[in-house]
Amino acid sequence: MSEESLSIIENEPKEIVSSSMFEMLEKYSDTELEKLFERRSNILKVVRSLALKNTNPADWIDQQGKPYLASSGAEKVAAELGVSWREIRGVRTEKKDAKGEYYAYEFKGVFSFMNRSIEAVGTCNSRDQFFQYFNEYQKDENGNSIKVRKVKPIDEDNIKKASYTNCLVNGITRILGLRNLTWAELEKHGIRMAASQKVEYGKDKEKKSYPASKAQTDYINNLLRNFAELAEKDRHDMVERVKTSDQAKTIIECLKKEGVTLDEAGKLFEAVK
Amino acid sequence: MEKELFLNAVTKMELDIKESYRKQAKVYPCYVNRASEIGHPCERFLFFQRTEYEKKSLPSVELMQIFAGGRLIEELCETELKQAGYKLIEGQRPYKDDRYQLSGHIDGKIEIDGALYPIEIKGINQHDFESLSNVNDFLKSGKSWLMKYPAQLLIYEYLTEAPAGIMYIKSKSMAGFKAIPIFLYDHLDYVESLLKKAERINEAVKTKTKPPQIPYTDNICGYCDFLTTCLPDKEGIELNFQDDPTLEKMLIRYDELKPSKSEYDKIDKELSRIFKGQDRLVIGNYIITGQMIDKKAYEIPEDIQRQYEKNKPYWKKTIKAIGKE
Repeated sequence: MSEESLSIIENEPKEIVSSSMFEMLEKYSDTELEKLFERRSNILKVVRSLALKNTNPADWIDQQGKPYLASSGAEKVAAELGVSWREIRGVRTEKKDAKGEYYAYEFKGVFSFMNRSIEAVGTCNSRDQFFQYFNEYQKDENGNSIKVRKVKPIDEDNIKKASYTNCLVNGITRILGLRNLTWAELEKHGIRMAASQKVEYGKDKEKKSYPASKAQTDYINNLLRNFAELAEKDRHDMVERVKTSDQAKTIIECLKKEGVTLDEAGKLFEAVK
Repeated sequence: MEKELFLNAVTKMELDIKESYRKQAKVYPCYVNRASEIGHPCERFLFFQRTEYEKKSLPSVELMQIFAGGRLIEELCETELKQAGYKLIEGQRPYKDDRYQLSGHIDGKIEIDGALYPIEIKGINQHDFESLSNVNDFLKSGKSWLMKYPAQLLIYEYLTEAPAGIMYIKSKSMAGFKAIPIFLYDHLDYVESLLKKAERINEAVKTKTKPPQIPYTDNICGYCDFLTTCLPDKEGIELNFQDDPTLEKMLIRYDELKPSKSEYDKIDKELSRIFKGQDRLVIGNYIITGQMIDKKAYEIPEDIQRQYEKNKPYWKKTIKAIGKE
């Protein structure tokens, strides 16, 4: 992963093997160890259920179709299950590349749960897309309201905090085995993807279809209803006039679907008028 | 205006308001111990306030809105006091004590029977408002912002040499107010501990020695503006996993019977109401009998009850099923 595209960096944590673990390996026979590992595996299943039970959809983020536990959820789960952390330390690094200068924060810490400890890392840099842009509404030359993406001055404290929070979230989710979950598993616990926050990057974000508002849908339906109320001959004449145009295709495509997106709603306005 | 444009205009308005709050957010330098902060349960926080205030997080937009609401509540309280014939004087007058490097600005003083008493006004959420009636309630709340309030007023009493003061709290849902009298001489030990704390902070600032971390507490550390400077360790209280098949079976059965128990209780209550005073009644395959029972009862006057009142601790168990995968 390049340094420029960082938002949530997931450095592989190192497993910290304590001396008691070596003692355990010497103390128990293979069969006993197998039983112990089976027990641990069962406990981890319970831990996972307990963790999911203590979160709600607002604690999860859908990132390109995969669920990620947000900091609110990670902290709740850590408190409920008793995850410990220590030796948290952060570093600020100045960086430079072809695009210019920027800085990054990296926090590391040791996370422990049930006699196991790992080191986890969290980073965030001044090019992080969550902190650079905001949307502003403006009017174009035709007087239409348009959404414009604007650059926001970066608050360094936000970058630092995000890096610290990423470290906590990474540490908590890894030590509890809450990575690589699927929406199907979450839905068994009542956490639905549709009710969670969504994060999309770069090209995906541009492709995103926002649903049309209720007011817009009502307006379109009203216009279409008027169209339906026309006499059959008038309808034929109208369809004849528009059937070869892109507008007609737009109407037909939209009518086949249940919902209309904001973009489609704009085209429909023009077409049905 | 078309609906779409109007919706956009409203969205823009929301963004403008948030941006306006964001622009107002500031962090102020702090060179002395503030009366409003000295009651904070973490000395390390108080040390950072004085030595690394520039690293303090800017208040969030949400917090800025809470502050703005607090100022409005203060104005409202001043108005209601004035309407009732109590005028606030010396509002925002600064007081300081050089020995302890301690300073503060009082909300005001109020005249009662010819004497002036400091008054501190606070807007409080309805849930907390209901639970606060005296100094101990504030100190035991576990919330750093509430724990600071009595200390602030007591330090004002100490700085203004007043024997008492009033903590005037108002519910943010505007559903009520409480004027809580706080007497300096009832809390001399606490005030002394605050002054000693101020001395320790002064010494730590002078020698540039960070006070130790307090044990991580969500309600304190989780809200701390110096969280990423302090980097506290957290000692979690782990769950105790036990293998006990007999107990596990008992818990499964307990969970299975629970819905039946609540249904049984509900029907039993309803039947008791219906069959009250009825005897030798047959319905279907059931015969219902009843009799009046004399039960000894002791009606003890409340003042006598209070004499024998004592806290009797008991262990309250809660059993919840963990979701099954």
